[in-house]
Amino acid sequence: MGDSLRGVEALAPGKAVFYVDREALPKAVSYVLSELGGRLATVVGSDERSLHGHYVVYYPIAMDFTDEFRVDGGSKCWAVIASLIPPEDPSFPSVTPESPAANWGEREVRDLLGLKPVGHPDPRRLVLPDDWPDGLYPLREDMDYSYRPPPKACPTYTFQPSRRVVEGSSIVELPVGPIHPASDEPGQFRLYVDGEEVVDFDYRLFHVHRGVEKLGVSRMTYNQIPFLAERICGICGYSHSCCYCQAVEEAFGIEVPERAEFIRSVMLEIERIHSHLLIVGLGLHLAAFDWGFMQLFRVRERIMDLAEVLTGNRKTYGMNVVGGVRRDFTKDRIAKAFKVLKEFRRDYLEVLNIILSNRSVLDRLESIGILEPGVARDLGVLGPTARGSGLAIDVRADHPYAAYKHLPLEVIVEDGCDVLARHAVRLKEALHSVELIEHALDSMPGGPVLAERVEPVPHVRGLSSIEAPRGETFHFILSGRYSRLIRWKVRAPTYNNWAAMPHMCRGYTVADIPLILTSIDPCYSCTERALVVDVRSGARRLLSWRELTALSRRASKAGRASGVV
Amino acid sequence: MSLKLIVKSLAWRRVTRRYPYEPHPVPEDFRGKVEFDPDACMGCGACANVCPPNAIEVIERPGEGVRVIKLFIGRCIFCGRCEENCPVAAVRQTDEFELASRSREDLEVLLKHVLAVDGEGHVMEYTERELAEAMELLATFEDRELVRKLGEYARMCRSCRVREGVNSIVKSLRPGLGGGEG
Repeated sequence: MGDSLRGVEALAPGKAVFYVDREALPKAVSYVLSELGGRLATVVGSDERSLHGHYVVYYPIAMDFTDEFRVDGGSKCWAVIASLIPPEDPSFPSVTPESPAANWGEREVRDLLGLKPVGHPDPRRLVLPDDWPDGLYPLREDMDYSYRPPPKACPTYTFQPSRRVVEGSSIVELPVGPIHPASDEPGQFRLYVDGEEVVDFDYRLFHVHRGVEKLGVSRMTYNQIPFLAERICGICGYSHSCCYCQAVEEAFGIEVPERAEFIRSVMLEIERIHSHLLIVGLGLHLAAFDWGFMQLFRVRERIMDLAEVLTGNRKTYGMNVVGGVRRDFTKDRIAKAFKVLKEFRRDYLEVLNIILSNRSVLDRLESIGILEPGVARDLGVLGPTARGSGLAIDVRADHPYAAYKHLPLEVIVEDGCDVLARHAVRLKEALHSVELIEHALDSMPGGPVLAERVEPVPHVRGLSSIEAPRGETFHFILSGRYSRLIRWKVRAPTYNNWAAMPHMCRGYTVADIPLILTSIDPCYSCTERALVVDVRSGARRLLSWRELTALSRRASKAGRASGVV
Repeated sequence: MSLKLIVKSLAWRRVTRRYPYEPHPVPEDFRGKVEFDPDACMGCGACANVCPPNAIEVIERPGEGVRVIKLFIGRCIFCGRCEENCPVAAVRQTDEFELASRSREDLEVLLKHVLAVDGEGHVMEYTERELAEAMELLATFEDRELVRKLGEYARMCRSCRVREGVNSIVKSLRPGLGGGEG
């Protein structure tokens, strides 16, 4: 395989791009993943014809499942396997048959750049709408970002069960959607149901793909993008702007002042607490334990107030720019923060004790949505979803960024592999975050919070990842001239976690589905509705999300009344 | 179990606020509605350059001899980059956040700046205030000859300046020839 290697580009200590012949991609990627202990973060496609006449596909791999590759015994390495794709033959052999974690990434590259993964098992579109014209690829440099193709009538998307579903059996198709998962993307699901049991699951997401990457590179300078990045997500926006800034800072060689790094860590942990409490609260609501839901939201409000005290806003803090942060923590605000954290810890522990002593709720969440560690690893699952299945991956520990190398970080792992384990990870992490914030505020060094010199460097690549509340957020940049970027790639954690959903849902009842969906922490809106189709009679029944929720809550209450769940 | 929940719920006070029936206090350094100080603004457009959502626009109307700085609050994301980058501290974020309105005009702020006019009556590409600001800055320089020369150039419109520049280069190369119409 050595003779397929065409070149190596060092990005930063412990981060390098290995360019290989495109024929060697599947072998190279699966070798690094399975033999060397890598974790495929995503697939990045890039139109770099103006730079060197080629398209490029990158397979960024974090060396997380091994202790071998570390920089000076600290941060684990990143190996990016890449290949140049000639414009006259825009195709490459698909990696997905050997490494399923590349599935969505390669479909996205096909949709947005027109680079064809030959041998990919799923020919359907992933990101582009069904009526988008064939042969028009939004992320190619020659497409204008403001062009809107006119809408047209088109065949609708075909949902397909995997081979395990036998035609003509008593399987009923249960469409759910448009749903509102993480990254603000409504989507549709098909549940294939045999009686009450879910036998398969398929989905269509990206209904409101906003073209953020294209907008950023077409219309904004590198230092305006942090504000767009922060708006990618309404919950974990800060981790996006922070991750973007880190990628650019690394590529440009900008030294971020230490105090700014501490401030970033504090804000990231604040975000983690309020995100975790929100989703566990919703999980309890679906398990028909509204007291826990209300009380978690009540204590969460203290953390929102804390964010407001420190940054001036509850959400979208607008703190990050390339080179550091824009606002310092003053002495009296830090004092106030300590007070709020103390009260939060007291209230939170009190609520937590009551929730954990409620056996019927715990029973409802236990042993549903099982995700075995092996499957989780193969699919590239992230964050509490992975840690609930016993995988000790946490970007804060594996690739320390911001101030995490100075903080007493503990990676929280549960091995229940079920909905309860994932929520338990979150509840414990929220408490641990309080500790981290207090430690960071205590040991914060003085000095400036913004780098003095911030100079853009043309034609450099940078990648960064961050442990956002839902898992690893990943950003990749390639800078251009005149303060612009040529490519900005964003991958939010839920993108990877969805991959595990069909596996988690198989074998459980329809009433369990809302609980399992919530356990990977997608965002919900109240507009969802579901359509029930009986395959044999063709009869359709419309189920609202509220009814589906009610179904789950009724099942919880019934279990509680009878004493068995 | 249930009794414990009820007792606890009673012990914790109500947390919901009565807003909008009572005012909602904002924290110190809240990032609210952007306000321009029309007396301090010199119309340089530094704010428009850094504005991520293009909420601030610079509209040139040389025919009317004005430049308009237009802020559309409907697009504003309240990041405050304008406040940070204004060279004359003419932009400020206020505590105001109740910005809903039935008309678009309510959300538009327009600042008209008169463009400077040179000795020959040509409209220049910067405002009177920018020119005044530049002159003030120039006055702090040591080299009097440089100040005089730069001051002269600064008071010319773009095409006069180009002509003058070419003339002076020609003059320096062939001292006998200068003074023509370029």
